Amino acid sequence: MHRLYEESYLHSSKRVTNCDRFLNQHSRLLNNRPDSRTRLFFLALTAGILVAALASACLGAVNLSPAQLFSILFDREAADPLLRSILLDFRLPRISTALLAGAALGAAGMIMQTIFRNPLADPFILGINSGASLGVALVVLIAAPVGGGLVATLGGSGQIATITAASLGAGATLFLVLALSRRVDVLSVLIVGLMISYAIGAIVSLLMFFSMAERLQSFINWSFGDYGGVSWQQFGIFAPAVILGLLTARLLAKPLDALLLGDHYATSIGTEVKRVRFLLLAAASLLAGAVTGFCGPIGFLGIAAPHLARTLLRTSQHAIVLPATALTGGLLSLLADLAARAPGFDSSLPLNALTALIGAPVIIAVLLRQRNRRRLFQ
Amino acid sequence: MTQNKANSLLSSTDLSVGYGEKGPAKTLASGIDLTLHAGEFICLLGPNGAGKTTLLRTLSGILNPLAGSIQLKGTDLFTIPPRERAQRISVVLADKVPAGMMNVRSLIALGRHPYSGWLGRLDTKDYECIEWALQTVGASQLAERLVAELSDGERQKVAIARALAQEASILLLDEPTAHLDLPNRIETMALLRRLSREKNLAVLLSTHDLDLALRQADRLWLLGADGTLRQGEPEALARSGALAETFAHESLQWNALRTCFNSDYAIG
Repeated sequence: MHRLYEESYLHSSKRVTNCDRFLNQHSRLLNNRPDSRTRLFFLALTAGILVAALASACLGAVNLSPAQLFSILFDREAADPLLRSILLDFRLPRISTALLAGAALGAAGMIMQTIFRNPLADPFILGINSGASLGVALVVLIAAPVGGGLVATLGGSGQIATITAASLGAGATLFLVLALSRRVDVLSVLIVGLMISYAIGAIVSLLMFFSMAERLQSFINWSFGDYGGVSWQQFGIFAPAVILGLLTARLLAKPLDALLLGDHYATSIGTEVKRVRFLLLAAASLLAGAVTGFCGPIGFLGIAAPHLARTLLRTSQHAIVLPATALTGGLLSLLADLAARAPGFDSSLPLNALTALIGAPVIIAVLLRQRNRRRLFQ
Repeated sequence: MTQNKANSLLSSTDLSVGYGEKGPAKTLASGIDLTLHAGEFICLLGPNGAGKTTLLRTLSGILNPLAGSIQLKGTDLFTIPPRERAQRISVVLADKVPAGMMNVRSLIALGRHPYSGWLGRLDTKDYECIEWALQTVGASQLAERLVAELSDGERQKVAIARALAQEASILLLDEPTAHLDLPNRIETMALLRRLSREKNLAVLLSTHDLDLALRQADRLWLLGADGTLRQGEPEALARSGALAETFAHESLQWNALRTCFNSDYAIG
């Protein structure tokens, strides 16, 4: 077969120098070797995350100075045990959770957008969000004991029940959507996901309608979203789940690129579309399910992060865009959490509202700045 | 034309194509025995809905046949691993190539997927091949442009370059001249014919350009609305009336003298 091309390779030896010069200039477009723009982007993101994490560690109901922060971290003897506990047991797990949750939602959103070739797709469109909220609604609105139940659901064992219910609900919905995704085409999966979302949302509304005001309040609190509820112990489950999902996505960057061309073309260049799609959906489910289970439904990061990364890097290559999206998601998530704990408030603001407040303008700005705005996927 | 399956690249035996793996199958064409040889330039003609696209997709291994078999150099096409198949058959589909933030070179780089490792890293040979493909279709100057910003003619060239980068010996194209103006249609056909000659590729394309197909093709495959496939040299098919039958329509008369159709409808 290669015999056919011998002739052209003989010719090509003449333009090797030309070609090499060209490749050095534009390596970003060809492969995983990042160019200066990409490097700058990653550098800026990392710096941004460090600054946001530092601010997050210092600011809050009790403000720490950088000097105090340093002494707690590196000079344990001298530190005030209370401040130490605030930083190590509350703020650090919260920062780590925010970072990982943002990365997870961003990556899951990117996978969804590529698989469904739809710029508006994100994990929640598949009904993962509503599945989780149904699980939580069942626990909080019905199963929790009357009276003391409210306290129990807000802290301690009740919280674990909430997380379990959310994860189970998300998992069950995902299983349903994944099972359906093997039978119908890509667009139908999106529609099925939406319909499942609506149906489950309706059940939750009914549950809310018939439940007591106190219980309603604790359900609404969950639905605001919060990174503060994850302890180190829970982080020990949350982090491996997210890292597994992120790794799977990164290892599937090549077939993700192929899927940009559509199923037929992807098949024609040797991609096993059905298998790859199943794995990708499973990874996205794991990522979104873990976040929703542990932190509540957090919207908009899954849409905003991939758009931001893709537009700033001007490439669709997943080997580059996927890590960039994870970092962007992490940064946005940290910023949203920082804003939610804005000084002057005793408790944090609804995280979900802040991600929407940050995410929506970002998406609008990105779309308006794009020259070929209608052709993002078509 | 002799049905020489022994030295053919691609051949089929009693092939039925259609769709509906689940539920009731809809057969579009059946009893197809065909051969495709290296260096051949073949045009697939037929009325809308006869199943040209389905036949091409089946031959490329994207769709499963309803019955019969397809042989790639004597091996059953559907027993060949996808990656290996992609090294031998490349396609240009009628699906519009979507590519938001993708430029021409990275689109063509996707044609190297059958050769790159599972992380998709490309080596020097891959880069050379991409440049070669760009140059062969005369699209080197487009390399940095975003795919979304190309004209239809440029996009078709780039799609062909992507297929060429696959270094396959068989090139299947679904209506590569649709949406193109006359100069671009002629240029595309000439390019494909040249590729079949110079690179010894087996090129099969479906088209509605009767005129161009009659002049350029080595052989024609006529897929009738009744689901039968007839093959032969353009002149023979034109003279035997097979062409006329394939496109039979009450308002069309075959003009054997000028080898074209006359229409009842007054034009202009």
